[in-house]
Amino acid sequence: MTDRGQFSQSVAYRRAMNNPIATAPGLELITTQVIGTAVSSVQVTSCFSASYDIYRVIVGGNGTSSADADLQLRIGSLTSGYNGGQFSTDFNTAGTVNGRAFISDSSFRFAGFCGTGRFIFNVDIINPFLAQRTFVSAFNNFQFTANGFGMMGGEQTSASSSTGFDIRPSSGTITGGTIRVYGYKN
Amino acid sequence: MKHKIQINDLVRDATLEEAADIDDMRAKALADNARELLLKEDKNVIRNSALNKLKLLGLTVEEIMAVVG
Repeated sequence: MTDRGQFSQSVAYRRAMNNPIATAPGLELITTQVIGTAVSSVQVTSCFSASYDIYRVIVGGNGTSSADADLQLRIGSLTSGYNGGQFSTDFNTAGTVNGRAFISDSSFRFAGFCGTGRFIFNVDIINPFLAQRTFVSAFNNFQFTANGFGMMGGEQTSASSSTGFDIRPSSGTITGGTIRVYGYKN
Repeated sequence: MKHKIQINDLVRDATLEEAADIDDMRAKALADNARELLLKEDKNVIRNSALNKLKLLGLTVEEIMAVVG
């Protein structure tokens, strides 16, 4: 190794060891919640706070449901003012794009998907605790009526502050799976 | 319809008001999904009809896809 290479390696090492910003995680686990058996709704409380502006809610593990259904997301106790849309690409027709939308609804309609042995919920929530509009981006959800994977984006128009959320299947019940709520470090 | 709801670790039967809220959301989703499937079916019918007409004109599937694919 050249002297220059050794110097660079040394600088990188010292930066990593001495600079806490360089090594701190960007996502911090706030809480986990295992989904019970055959529930129509699961609510997670006290997870949004002034500590973070942006959150990632993701479900892993062995989540399943009694029927193919959209997973709907409600922020806090807000029952109106949800706008958004979803697009997906149909894998049975070589990528035909399908879209659907909701306006002035009572939840984010297409935040995820559940079916037998399938549970997809991976959502960023922006500013739920701040007293302003809340925005969401739902990644890799499934439009089961159109055989396509896609994404949903939307807004909650209320300027209220919320500290929790709930997830509901649009039909049937859900069982299992672990909800993990992370905060993006401010 | 009876529903079980979960709040953090606690699972319990939904109150009448909570159950009505869930049923209301579901009724709307069901109606929207049915409408979506009907639209999709309509689109497929029109698409297949158009493809058949183009085939009658002597176009191959590859030629049709080259134009509209």
